[in-house]
Amino acid sequence: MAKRALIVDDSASMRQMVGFTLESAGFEVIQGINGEDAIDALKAAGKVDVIVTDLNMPIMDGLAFIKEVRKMPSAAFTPILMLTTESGEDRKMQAKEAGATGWIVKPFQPEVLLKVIQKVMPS
Amino acid sequence: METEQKKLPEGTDLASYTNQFLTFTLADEEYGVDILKVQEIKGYVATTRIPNAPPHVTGVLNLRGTIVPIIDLRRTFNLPEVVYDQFTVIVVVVVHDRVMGMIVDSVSEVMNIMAEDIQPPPNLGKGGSNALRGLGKVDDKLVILLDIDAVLLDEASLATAA
Amino acid sequence: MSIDISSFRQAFFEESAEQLDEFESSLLQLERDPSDRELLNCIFRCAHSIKGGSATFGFPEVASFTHSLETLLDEVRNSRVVIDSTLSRLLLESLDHMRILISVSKGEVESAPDSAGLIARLVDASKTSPKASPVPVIVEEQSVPGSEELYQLDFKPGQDSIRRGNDPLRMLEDLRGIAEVTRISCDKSGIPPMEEMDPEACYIAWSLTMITTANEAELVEPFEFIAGDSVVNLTVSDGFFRGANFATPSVPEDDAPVVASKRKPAQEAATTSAKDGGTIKVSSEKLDKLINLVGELIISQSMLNSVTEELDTTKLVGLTEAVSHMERSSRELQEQVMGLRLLQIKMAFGRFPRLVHDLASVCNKKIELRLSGEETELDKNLIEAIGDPLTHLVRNSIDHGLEPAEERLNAGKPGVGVLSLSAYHEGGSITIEVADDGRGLNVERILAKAIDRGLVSADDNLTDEQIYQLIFQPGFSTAEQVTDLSGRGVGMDIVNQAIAAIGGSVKVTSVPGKGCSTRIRLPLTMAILEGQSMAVADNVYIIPLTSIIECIRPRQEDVHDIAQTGEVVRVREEFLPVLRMHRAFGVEPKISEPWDGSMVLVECEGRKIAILVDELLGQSQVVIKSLETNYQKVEGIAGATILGDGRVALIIDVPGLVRGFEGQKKKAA
Repeated sequence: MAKRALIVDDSASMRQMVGFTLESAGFEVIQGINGEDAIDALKAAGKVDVIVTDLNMPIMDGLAFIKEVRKMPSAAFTPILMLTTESGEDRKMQAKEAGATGWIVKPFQPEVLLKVIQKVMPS
Repeated sequence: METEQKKLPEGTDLASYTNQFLTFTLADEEYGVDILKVQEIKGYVATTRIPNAPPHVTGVLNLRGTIVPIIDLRRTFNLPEVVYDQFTVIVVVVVHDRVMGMIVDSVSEVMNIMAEDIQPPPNLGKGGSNALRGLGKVDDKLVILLDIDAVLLDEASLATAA
Repeated sequence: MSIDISSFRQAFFEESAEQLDEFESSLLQLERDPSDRELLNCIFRCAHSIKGGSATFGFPEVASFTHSLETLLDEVRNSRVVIDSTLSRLLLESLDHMRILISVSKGEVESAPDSAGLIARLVDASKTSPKASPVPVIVEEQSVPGSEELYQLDFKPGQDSIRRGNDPLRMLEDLRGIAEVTRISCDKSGIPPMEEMDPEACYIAWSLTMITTANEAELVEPFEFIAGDSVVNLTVSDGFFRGANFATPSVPEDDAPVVASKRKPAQEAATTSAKDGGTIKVSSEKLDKLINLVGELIISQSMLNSVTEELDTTKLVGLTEAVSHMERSSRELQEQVMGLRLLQIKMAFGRFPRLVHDLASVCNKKIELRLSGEETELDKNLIEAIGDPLTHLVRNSIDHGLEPAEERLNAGKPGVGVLSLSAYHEGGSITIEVADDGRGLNVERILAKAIDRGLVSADDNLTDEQIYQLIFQPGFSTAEQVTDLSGRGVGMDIVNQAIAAIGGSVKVTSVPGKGCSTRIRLPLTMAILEGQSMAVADNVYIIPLTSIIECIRPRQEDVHDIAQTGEVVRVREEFLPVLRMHRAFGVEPKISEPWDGSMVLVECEGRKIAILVDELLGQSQVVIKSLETNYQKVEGIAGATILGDGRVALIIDVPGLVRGFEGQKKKAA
């Protein structure tokens, strides 16, 4: 069964790029344009192997999204990576509190993204 | 509006095509045009007249959805008029990125004429035109090779000038 | 394997353009309502998004400039800085600067003015010191190949690690990939009794020894994400405590209120992102091809209809039914496909809030822009084509029509002038109106200028309406001096031509002192036309319904041939000049006298003409085919179409035909 990834970002170009990166690594990619949309997508998909999400999004931002996701039994332990320009320690703490697994700062090299994702995926 | 691309068979040596001509008759003379410019051949159908068109443009035709102007080559070359009949053919060519049709008496065949059998056009003095590529000789027959771009230049340039 | 980021740049450019437009419109709205939080958040997000994208896709200048802007906007949205008109201007300037920077990134423009000045002003406006965190830049990890060392690692994941999706076992596996683990032991002492245990918490710790050439950074890298609240103690086993101690007690912070409020659906600037989720961008070329194909289908359909009508279909009942069914499907397909090309006119109106705002301040006038009917849909090509004409009309209104506040007040009008742009469907066409409540057109000046230019003579008795239409003549301008905006004398006739080129018409009405209104009438689409077919001998011609007033069978007693004027026909109280179609096109008609044929009454640029033809055929929707693609433009002909029997019918361009007709009459006179 192919690995699945959920990408959440309100920027289409970002979703395209991250999506392409993941697809070329063999992932089946599902997209959400903001937190709320992503929750719907996740419910429809059932389960994913990794989630990559932006922080600042309209309607439901990254932190609220992660909190919601962690409430879902199918996604309680799914690795969640934040992909954002922010790098402040307090923000990282907030993300951790919400349940984020890890953090990648934009701009990033696609290869680095893949490496980090491999790192957090369960063996 | 699309112009049909001629599909050459696989492995075609393009050089061998440069001397292929479609030959047709006009007033008992044999003429030839570069085969690569010819898109298709159609039986004669009456055209729709266009107002204020030059005399050699008889009108336009519907060619699978595209409107194509039709030129009467006899008029272009100042040859006497004839009644069109079931042998009359319209040769559709692509010239200067435009699709046009020319009315000829009948179509003969596709011939290969080697470069050594083509003589440069004679210098006919002031009255001559540069519409000729040359004179081809095939089995004692004379084939007048037209530079179709030059012949139809008027039609093509009319549009850009407008 | 490397991935080429540059292939996504196009998407980024398109997205940034949308973001910048949203930024601009939100900002303009904000000027009217400075306390609207949603607008503030929206503006911040636009800048934030562009910053992230530009950094990721390799445009550091854009990223660093936008970073300063974002910092300022963050202060604004947190109410630490207040938006006033000065700040608003600064933000608009920044917006324009960003557009230029992006143009440079796209390669459209050579170079941009230096950002430093603007950045300094943005920083100043933030009134806080420049943000401590600089624009994130990728730091290459250095790996120093070293000799083999013996390390000891004590590792206790924080209790919440697993809850956050981390997998300690995976981390140990990764470690095994770069080090040879010689000894490992597990400390289970932290596990509480069953009743107290939280199955999702991590209570286990590990301790291991390993030999490796990897350096310390590499060794702790697998634990990067849990380092903050875990114990990861790396020591070199000569006993000397050299590794950094990553243990920090996790401090639970009060949840910052980060859940964004639901966006108001009424937000007009809304949701290019929300829409984005359900749409696909399709190239116009593909759409045009599709529309062409559907046009072909409709023609084939007509041909099929013609043929089946002539067959004896009593034995082929199924055939007629099938053909009829197919016709219904084709028509519906055509409607749907034509609808694809429709966009809301909002797209054409988009530039005006900003334009009016800027022009009003340049002219020192107070102007309110009112938009209505923005959801009215229009063919994409038409939207592109009316952009410039509309801009010109708007500029005219602002420059000449609307008066400065003082003058308005003196005239008893409110100080703020109203400029309205509206669009609505009317019959088979779309009307776009540009109206103002300013001075209105000056009839005397227009007439004087027209006489001066020899367009009319002093004793022509013209109605006010006819005088207004004179402004569409080439070379006409009554502006006293050529102002920067307009009045160069190339204005209205270019507008007229541009509109005519897309098959529309322009009409202007005015009331002196009260205002002026320009109405543009456009066909719904450029590719398909509702037309009246008519025949002259064997030739079929089609006149667009939008030009036709009515069709009549003239009576002998109503047709007169007036010396020095020509043929006219009486229609109720009017006398209309008669244009004989067969003469215009040089064909032999079947009828000999006008009363044997039919006349089509058309209206064109304020004049009415009666066109004589042999007979009227039906009305239908025809697919417009270009004559110019392979032939050339012919005056009086708008295009051609293919009839059900495969023949070509010419579509008449009424203004062109009438011009030719009048030109001939002048010559004869």
